Amino acid sequence: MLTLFCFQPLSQTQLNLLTGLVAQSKKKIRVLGTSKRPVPLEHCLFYSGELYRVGDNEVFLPQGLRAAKEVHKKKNSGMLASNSGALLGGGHGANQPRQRENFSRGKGQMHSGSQSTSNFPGTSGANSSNWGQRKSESSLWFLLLHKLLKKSLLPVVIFCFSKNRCDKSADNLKSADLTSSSEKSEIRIFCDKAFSRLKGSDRNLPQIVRVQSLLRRGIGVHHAGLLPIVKEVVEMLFCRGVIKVLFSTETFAMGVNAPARTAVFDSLRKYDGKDFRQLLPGEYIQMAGRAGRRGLDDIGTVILMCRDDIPEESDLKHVMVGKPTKLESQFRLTYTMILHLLRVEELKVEDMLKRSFAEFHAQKNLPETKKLLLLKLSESTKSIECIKGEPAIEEYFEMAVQAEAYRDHISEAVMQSQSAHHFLSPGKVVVVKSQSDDDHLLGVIIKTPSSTHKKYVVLVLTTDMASSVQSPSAPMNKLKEKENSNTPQGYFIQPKGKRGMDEEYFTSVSSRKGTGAINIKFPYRGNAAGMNYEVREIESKEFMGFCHPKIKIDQISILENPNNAVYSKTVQQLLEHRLDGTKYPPLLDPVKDLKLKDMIAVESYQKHNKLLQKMAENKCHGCIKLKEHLLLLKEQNKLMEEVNALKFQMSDEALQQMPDFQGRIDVLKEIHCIDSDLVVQIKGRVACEMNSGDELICTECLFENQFDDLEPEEAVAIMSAFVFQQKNTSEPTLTPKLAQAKKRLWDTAIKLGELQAQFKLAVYPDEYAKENLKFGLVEVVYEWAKGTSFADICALTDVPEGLIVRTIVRLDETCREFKNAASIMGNSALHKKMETASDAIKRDIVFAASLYVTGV
Amino acid sequence: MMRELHVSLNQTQKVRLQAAFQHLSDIGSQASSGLLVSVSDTIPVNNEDGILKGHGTSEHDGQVVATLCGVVERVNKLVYVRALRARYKPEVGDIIVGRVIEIAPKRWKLEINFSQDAVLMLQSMNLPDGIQRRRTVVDELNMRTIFEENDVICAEVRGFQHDGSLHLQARSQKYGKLERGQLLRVPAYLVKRRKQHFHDLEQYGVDLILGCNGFIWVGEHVVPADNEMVEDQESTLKDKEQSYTPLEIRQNICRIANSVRLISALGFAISVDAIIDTAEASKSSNIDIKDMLGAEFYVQTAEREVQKRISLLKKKRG
Repeated sequence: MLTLFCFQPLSQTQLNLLTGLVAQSKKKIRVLGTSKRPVPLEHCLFYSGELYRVGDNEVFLPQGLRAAKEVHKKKNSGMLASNSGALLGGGHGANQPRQRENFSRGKGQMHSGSQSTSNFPGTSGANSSNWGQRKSESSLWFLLLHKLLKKSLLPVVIFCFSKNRCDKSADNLKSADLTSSSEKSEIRIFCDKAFSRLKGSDRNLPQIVRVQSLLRRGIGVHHAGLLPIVKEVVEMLFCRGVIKVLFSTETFAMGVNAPARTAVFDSLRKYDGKDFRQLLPGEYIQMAGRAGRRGLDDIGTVILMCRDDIPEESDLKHVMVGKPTKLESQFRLTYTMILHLLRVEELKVEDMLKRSFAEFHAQKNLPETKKLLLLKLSESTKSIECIKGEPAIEEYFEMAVQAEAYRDHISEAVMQSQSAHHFLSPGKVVVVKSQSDDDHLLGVIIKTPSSTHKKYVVLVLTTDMASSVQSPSAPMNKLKEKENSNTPQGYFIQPKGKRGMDEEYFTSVSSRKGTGAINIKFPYRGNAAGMNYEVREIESKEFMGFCHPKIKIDQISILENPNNAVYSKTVQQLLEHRLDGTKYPPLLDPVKDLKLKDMIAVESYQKHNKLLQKMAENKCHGCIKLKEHLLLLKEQNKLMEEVNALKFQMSDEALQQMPDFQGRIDVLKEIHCIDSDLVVQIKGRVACEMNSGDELICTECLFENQFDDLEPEEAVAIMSAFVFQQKNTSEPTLTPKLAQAKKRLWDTAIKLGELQAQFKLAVYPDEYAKENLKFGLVEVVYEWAKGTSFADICALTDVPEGLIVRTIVRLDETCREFKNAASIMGNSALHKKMETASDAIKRDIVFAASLYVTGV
Repeated sequence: MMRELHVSLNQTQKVRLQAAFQHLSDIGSQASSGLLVSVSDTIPVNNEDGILKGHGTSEHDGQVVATLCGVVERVNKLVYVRALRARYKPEVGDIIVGRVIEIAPKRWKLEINFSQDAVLMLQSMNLPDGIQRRRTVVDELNMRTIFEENDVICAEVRGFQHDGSLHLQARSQKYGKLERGQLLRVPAYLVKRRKQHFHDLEQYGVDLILGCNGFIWVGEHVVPADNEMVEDQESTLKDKEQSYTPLEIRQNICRIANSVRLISALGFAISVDAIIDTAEASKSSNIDIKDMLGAEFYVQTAEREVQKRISLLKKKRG
């Protein structure tokens, strides 16, 4: 039995998937859960100072949205006229449409600003220096606060989707003061106590001073850019209930259990590292779930801020009551995982892949696939009873298949060649593949493809077989069936002597210009001159060959106004070309007549001819049961193929990750982490220790002894590239030695990236290096390791303090890993260096103990 | 260590054996590319800068000097000496066979041929009832029902703890107590790390475990029990006692065990192929199990090894 705790809101389908996955490896599983929220939620829109209820618990209420929309509309229409004058004064032409929106809203409320407010946190940060915008922003927040105060809906968590926006929004509420004097003193005492553990200069860090002043007024900020200690202070004060308004990023909804009376969404869109997108229902639920404190509130309020626009109903519905996104496997095959699995005998990597959620769907169907396979295997296959004794039919079949392939190749080449197009003019007599197996039909081209009509229109003589007397409305897809039926015939070989006697018809095609319209329905069937005929569309690959003669046809009368007389004339002309003995007039030789020049095509033409000859020599060629046996064989082959496909599905090779896995194994072999028998070598064992950075780059860097000439401080500075994660930081200024080390490491990464790309992994060297090595904090860490104070190193970069601390803390972990690696390699110098480095960075505010651990 | 094999050779056998060893050393010197060093030998590094000195090396007067006898190995910039004859040194993931020497609070102590005793914690052991749960005091009291002193156990190296002690784990059906068989002790360096160390020799009905620590287990083949089968444990216990290992299997075990003894006495690397090969050869030339350790077969085995290496060398050269 296994107990799995899962505190995420899950839908039923998600739950089924999850339990299915768990049940695959463990047999018994029981699911306990509750579908009820102890504190119900109420969803509202906040627009122009009013709250509109749009949702109650799980139910969407369209009335609220409609009301909000109406207000919005009224304002828009009312203001349009009076705004036109102001618009001219406003000035910025490029922003016109947006501005108008802004104006229309502006007058109804207290805004008088003339600048546009955007929905995107990012862009608003960019032009935040704008007085008007800031004014309107802060007034919007004040409006909201006022409303919430009046309805006693505080404390509130406001979710903004960027660190920058959190800070800006909090700063906008400069004049707000939400705390009583007793609360103020409580906050002050708490802060003093908490920060007393810091060194003197650290206590006056700008961030700490700024946040403290905010806190005193009952306003909090919480995001990853803050120092850990500041974050903890904010969390603790919020839980005590003295912070009334908390601006936070999404992370606050994830890790910290600190509910509020109300949750506010700054916007419904967020930047997820790649682009702006709508919030997912799961994310919305997670954040909205912060609203409503159990035992304190009867109801939790979720508010969505509307600035210029009321969100669409579909968008709202999607996030509020929409289907959660499908569970997706986050299983990533890594080198460390492969190495760890390879060094124990017990679990094969393939088994690991099989058990991953990515393969879950395929693996779930495995029993059925097995059943199907057994069924297919048990299907009795009739053996071929050859009347000629020793069966040679397999050989014959193989040749036939090969010949078919050659023929396809040739006809393709013929159709592409220039001369063929010359031949494919209306009136040309052609041989067309027929839908029944062995017969090919004589026909004449009536219309060549044009831009509107992609297929050839051909009149063919059909035989008197039953299929040809079907009603004209026979389904068109017969054409497709035709392609499947293929029995080779020796039609290309024609006695060469006969070719000379061809009569030449060089009557030009009717010069009358038709409209080009086709008034008959394909396939159009009829009977003329004692023969069945059919007018149909075919594709170029269905042509089997061309004949020399050309006949006179009346294209327009055939296609536009079907006339029996015209048809019978054409049919008769065609019939004339049927010579005795052969069914068709001699065909054009692709090489000689059609001037086929493509080397490969000519070659395959010759091979084809040879093959046909061989087939004729085979004793099955003349056999009366040939057709029957061929069919039987074809069926058998099909069955075999199916069985093989099923077997493949069940094998390890069918795993989705298999190609990736193979590539990675090859890479590991190439850099000697494992030997040819997949036994992990010393380099592989070192790579196993590397968890904090990219294992390959770290290992390679160690084995190339890149830290040899570096001091511990420099080494740890370079190592920060492994753990730091932010892109786009200010460029650090480096000492020559560091710059050289950086270059060396970068080259290593590029080399490894190229190696991986060479083994067909989806790795692009440049991206790979950029992704895994971020040198943004090298200078900062170097200075820190040398003993510079925290305030000073913060001034060196634009990276937020919180991230610096996080990186340095993780760097200590990396030092430890490198130390372990050094002892595996047996190098005491490196071991000592890493120890010194670790000691150098472990000091002051960065490694200040957590308030949760020590208590305040 | 295993008892030294005392073989009394007659004159011709002595000559043959000497010739065989001479051959082997010739082949060896041809094939091996690695540089052999002994203690205080200078390892030539061609004045490359940035050499990373690994195990078995030291710097002396600006030169890299070996501190062990062995083969010089190089990986990128790392230079280290792989000792030829060394005591077993555990690595994570090694499969080892060991003997319980002590039961301590929440742990068993095992002798595994390492410089210190290994520790197998109660919590890194699957409980007999197959349920994953916290170990209680009762479990602790019942530790002897799982393993007693002098039991032979197979386990996997989990890693070194912070205090430097070596920890094992046995959280798999494959690991656990080994019964009905022989434990052989050979020098650890004769057992190479491979992909597989558990071998089921079907034709003999014998399980063979080549412990990386040089302890080799040859025992009757056991079908791994299903984890879920909990109910009639007592009855299966009884069944076990009643069923005896058949004579044929016992003989097979002895034959395999003697093969191992022979190979290790000759100082050849121990692998499944070599073991099976030797056992088959003894069978085909009608040599009794007891005579396998005799002079004649001893010399024969050495000669066969020479033949094998010669053909291998030929194949390599194409």
